[in-house]
Amino acid sequence: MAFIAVAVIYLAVLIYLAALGNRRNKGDEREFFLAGGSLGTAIGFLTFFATLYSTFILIGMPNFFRVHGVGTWIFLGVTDMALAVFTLWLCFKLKDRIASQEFRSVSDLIRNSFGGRGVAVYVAGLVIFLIPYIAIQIKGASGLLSTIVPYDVPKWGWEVTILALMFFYSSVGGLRGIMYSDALQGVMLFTVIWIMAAVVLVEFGGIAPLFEAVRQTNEGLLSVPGPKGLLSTQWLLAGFISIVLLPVSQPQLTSRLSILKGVGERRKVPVLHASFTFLLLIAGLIIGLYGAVAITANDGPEFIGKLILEQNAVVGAIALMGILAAAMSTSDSQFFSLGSEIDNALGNAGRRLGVSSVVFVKFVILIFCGAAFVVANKSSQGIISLAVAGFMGTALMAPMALAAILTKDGKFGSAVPFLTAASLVVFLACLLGFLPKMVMGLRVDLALLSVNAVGTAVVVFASSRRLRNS
Amino acid sequence: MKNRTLWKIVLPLTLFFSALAFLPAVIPARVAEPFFFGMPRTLWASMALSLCIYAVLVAAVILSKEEEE
Repeated sequence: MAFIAVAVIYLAVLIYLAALGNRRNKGDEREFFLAGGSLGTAIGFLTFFATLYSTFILIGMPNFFRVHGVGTWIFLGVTDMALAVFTLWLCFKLKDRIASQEFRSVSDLIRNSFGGRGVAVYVAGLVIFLIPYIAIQIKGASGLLSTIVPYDVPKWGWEVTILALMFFYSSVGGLRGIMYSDALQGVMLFTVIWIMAAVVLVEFGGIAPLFEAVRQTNEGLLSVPGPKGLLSTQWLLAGFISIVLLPVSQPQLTSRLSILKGVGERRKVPVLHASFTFLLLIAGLIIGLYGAVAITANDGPEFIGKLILEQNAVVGAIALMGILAAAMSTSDSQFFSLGSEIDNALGNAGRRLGVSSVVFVKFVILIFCGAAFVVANKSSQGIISLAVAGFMGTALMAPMALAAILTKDGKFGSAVPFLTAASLVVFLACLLGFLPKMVMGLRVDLALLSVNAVGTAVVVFASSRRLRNS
Repeated sequence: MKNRTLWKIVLPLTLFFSALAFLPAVIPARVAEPFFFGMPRTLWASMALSLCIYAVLVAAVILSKEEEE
């Protein structure tokens, strides 16, 4: 009963926000894609926060603390603070870059610097790595919901529900509808995780008794590399780089930073993000360590499922809605962003087909929803590898995207797109088992990123110098 | 302080504090002592480094604001 009540309220608010977004768009294409291009601090922060943090933060992050111990703080805590500094820097650079042309998508910037080949590589990379990532997220959330929710809804039923809801509010409200929903979902995410952490903390009588209990249960959790030895220096470094680069490697984040209203918003959003992330991670740490002491589970969804069953009915229902919200808040933005990038990559394909860009993007989102459903239900080990490595996969395109943001007038030819494409192919071959993942003791993804970054820098500097001399 | 100069200080400082988190000298393997407020060494040390980066972020925001004004 509590679940139905919470679900009805949540759905009603979601529909209202989509309708509100639709009304404010006034049928204007620019409003639909860029929400008018003037994002305030509160919505700007919440949409950035919710878009960045998927179900991983609600399920994966506490489970990481539970399984790998306190070294997870380096992987997430240090990394996310560095990400906030990078975000602030990027906001300033984007302000300079966007001022010189009308911003529509990251593809436009890449086209200016690297031509059509750069855009093709960029969009192909996004599709290859983001679709499996979205599918696996939806699959995880649906599996958990079908196990815990006290009604006989199969897993595929939850997958269809999540995808249908996302398609509904994305296509009705456009980017504004998505951002309003993200704001609601961000608040839910933060509230849910802290309610569960507070319950756990009260049960243990404070943080020190919790650490004492962990010491008695599994002392390996209190140091690096953790009981399973995962948190090695190279692993942490690869995680650090791929996460810090997210604001430039994933277009749904770059576009949000690009449309912040003014200088004040560009300053406040990274600081708010860092502050709330710090608090979020503390909650995840508490929940994870509690799980290490009190809950036996094979994986993250099972652990969080058992934890939710320990809560009272209302908190449990809100937590389940929080998982639904977390699954949607990242995927909706990624779908919408992919749709916009593809429309631009194909040179305003909608108009060439005789329909508006809005209709074309809605169609692309619908196709991706279908693709995500199929991938979620047919996921093989190869697809899971693609999803897990999604951040690093998109990070390989970051040097090209960053060069496009930092340079206003340069035309750098096809060398960088070819280099990026080659690194993506080699990385895919490693993930699918055709090539080794380590070369001379170094992770191949780190080696590829280094080659990419140096190669891109050399091409950009050489071209800029040639331009100055001529 | 000019923005260009500001970033010349902020970015290396952020990298410096981040790099410390990967050094065995700062976060030694399989060593939990000394505890601080009940927290093991790896946790409080990496939390302290996070707060240092946070402080750099806030300082960057304040100093760039001064330049704007």
